[in-house]
Amino acid sequence: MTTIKQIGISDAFVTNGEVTLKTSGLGSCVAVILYDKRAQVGGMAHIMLPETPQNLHLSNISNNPNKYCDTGIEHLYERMLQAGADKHRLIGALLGGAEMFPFQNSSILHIGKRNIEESLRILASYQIPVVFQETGGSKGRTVSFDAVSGELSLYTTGETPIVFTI
Amino acid sequence: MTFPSLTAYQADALTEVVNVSMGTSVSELSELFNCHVSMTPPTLNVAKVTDIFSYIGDPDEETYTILSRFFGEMNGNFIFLFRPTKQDEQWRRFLQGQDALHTLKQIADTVCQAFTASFAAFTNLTVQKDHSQAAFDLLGAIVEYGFMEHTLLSDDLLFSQGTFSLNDFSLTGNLLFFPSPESLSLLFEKLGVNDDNH
Repeated sequence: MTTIKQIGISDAFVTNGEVTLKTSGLGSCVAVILYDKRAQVGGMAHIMLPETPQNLHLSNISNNPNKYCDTGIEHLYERMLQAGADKHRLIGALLGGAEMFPFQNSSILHIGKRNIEESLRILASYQIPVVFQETGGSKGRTVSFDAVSGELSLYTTGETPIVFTI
Repeated sequence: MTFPSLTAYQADALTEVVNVSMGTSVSELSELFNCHVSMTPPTLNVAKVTDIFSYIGDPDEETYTILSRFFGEMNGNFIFLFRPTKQDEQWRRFLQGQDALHTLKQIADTVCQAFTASFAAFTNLTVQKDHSQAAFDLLGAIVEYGFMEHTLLSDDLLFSQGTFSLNDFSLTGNLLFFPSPESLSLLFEKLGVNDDNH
């Protein structure tokens, strides 16, 4: 029986078993999914910000790698390989990165767009093809992914849910 | 500043200011709509970003939401999550009316305006309300936007959460108040409860 693993904000999980990975209420954050279909190893990260601040070591912020695109994707990639995935077979999916509210005088202006760009840049640096991308817009999304079947389900607010096999 | 270092004095002082400000807001609301508005006293919470929805609710819930910012010597966000007190005919008619989002925005603006004015008077800080934005969306997507800016400065989130009900509209509003972490030192100094004193 498949169990559901809920991925929270700044969280990630990798599975090679009958687990459906789910993250709910994605707004400007992005969900990055990595998958090795033959090994049936899948992973998902719910990432909030584009890049790790340079002065992180001087601040009170903990070094949670899943919070940032740069460290979050690297961390997910390494955990995928540890779980038995082959780096040459990895494919990726990217979802989220909406602009929920267009406030102009904000340090997080266009944060969704920046999350998308940074994620795509890092996935390209690992030569991981992005086979499914549903990003941008201004609506929240909920995503689930089954690592055995490769089935990805997406609900976007106000739209009919879609299912896609990667 | 890290929130877990909040002293009991600081937590009590901030809770009191938020309580008074919300009480003022509810009075304004009652006057504007000429109806009874009940309220539960707001609570003050410190939560890890990763745990935030265990305090607020299901991130998959679709809600009518207003987000409003405040700025000045102190800045941060208000988030209103509007829910029906019961899914009755009155609520259905309200939502189908053309003015539903306008009414919700009017409620939010009234509360924010009164809240920030009361907060400013109490703390002697210059605080202004920014314009607000309305949405109907997933609770998770809305709330993460409300605190995302603050996570640049801290892994912990300080927020208050209170509820008010307008029975004439079959409506409950959950008000989340997220002050920016960088504003807190000045706030506690103004309240006379900075670390040096206690």
